[in-house]
Amino acid sequence: MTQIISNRTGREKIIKAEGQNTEIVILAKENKEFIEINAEVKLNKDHQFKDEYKIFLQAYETSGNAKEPWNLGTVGKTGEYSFSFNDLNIESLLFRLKIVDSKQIIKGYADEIRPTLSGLGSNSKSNIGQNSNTLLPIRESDKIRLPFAIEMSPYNKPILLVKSKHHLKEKFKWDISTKVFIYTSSIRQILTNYLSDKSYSDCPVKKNFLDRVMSNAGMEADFDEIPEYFDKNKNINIEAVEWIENITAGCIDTPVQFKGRTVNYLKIFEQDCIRFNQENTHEN
Amino acid sequence: MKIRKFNDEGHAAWKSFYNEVFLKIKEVANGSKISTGDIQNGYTDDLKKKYINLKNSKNLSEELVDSKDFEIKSFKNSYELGLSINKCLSSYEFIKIDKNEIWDWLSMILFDQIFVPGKIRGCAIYRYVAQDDFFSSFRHLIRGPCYSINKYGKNAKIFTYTKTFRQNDWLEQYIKVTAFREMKVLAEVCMELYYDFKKDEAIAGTSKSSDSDKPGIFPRLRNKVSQFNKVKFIWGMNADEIINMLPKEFNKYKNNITK
Repeated sequence: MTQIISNRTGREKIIKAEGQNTEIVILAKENKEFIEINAEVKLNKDHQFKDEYKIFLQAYETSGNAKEPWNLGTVGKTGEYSFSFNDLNIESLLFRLKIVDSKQIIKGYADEIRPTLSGLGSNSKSNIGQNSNTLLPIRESDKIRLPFAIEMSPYNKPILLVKSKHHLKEKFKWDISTKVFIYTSSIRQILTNYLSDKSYSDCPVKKNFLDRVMSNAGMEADFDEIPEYFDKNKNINIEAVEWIENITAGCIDTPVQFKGRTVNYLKIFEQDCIRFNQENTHEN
Repeated sequence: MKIRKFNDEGHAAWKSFYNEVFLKIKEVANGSKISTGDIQNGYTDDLKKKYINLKNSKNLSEELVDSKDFEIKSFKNSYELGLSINKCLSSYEFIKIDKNEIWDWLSMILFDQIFVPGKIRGCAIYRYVAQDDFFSSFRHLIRGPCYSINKYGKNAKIFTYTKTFRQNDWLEQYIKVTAFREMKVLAEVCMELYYDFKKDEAIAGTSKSSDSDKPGIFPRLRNKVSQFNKVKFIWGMNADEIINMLPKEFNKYKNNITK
């Protein structure tokens, strides 16, 4: 007998995108000791949620801690709520909202809600990465063991995590050798993940990233020409590996604006290496 | 004796001492996999003397004023050890005492109970020197038990029933799954399903398996909870309600007759 598989959960999707229809607005403000959250829930009546359904909001980090959900009352009594905590990182802070009936069945759901950040300057700004034009946003993290790592998941922009307390974020900005090493490894890894992992097959962020790196490398963005990562025997396809190497090299070995002048990171890196070698030879 | 914390000099001395122990063991292992014999031979008399000197050195640590008296005794398992430390530090919020300088001072004081040549099979630095990174920090043989007992209370037994010098695989498997780590009720679910209350230890082969599809074991529970999470609000449920939702493959463990 044919087995029918359904992934329908019956949950209503809560609109989290900014705009007139937004049903949840979260404002996060970082003080010296804690992060202060103000949340406003405006549920659309079209969902037909019953008044007694409970509303829960949970704060979490993309890879790390999650707080116990806060009870925001019931659908019949929505409004503005505020609370605070001190053990999550504001830069990686996300929220999920759940509307729950008396049998603990989830009736409404929104995930990966990014708060609007305030108190970081004269204008409020949205969370790191997603809306910025930066190809690879950088964020400090105490959750990684090695000096840097890539955080990526489908539908989210990849983020370069650098180990906190090491001032790598600053070093990365000003030291071209560090930049070349980290960028080479990071872009290679992101491209490898994008090509090898099927969970990214429909990811629009992947398309955007590939567009950008191919454009950086001065290549035409022809997605049909990107080789499959695995061949029919499920072995790694050498053409895909070469493609990744070429795009990565194209990205690094290209003119960019750095400290107000046009530079090529790879060329500067090569010159640094040669100079270092000459200085050592002279000393000897 | 009150619990203390290393000062900068003391902490540096402890890290340096254990690095020396680690390097000596590696030297003895000579590039091959470290064996219990390598650990025994690598922890030389010279290093033992250095340890005694370090332990007896003055001015390397300072007392935690609000600590209660800590009685150093032979702890039966990590649960007893963690419980004893947590009781001594109960007047502090955990976040205030979650400091590497404290865990490592305890590591030094209890070194003969957590570093037992001849019995230990690994000597990784993170077991004895607390690390800053999130996941390695749970592998510290003092911090891991203290964290889990603080968070899960008596349900931390499954993560700490092991000897003080052993790393507990249940803790290792459990802690890395965010939903499980944060939802205290799931520690109770694991205790109910997978703890042998008669033997006072986890049921063998339940934390992981080379076959992750083996029915009813923890990796399957992890997958099921992840599925339930999409339709049910597990935070609002108690352990019995969660266990009752589990499918037939868990029956063997649901009827845990050791209780």
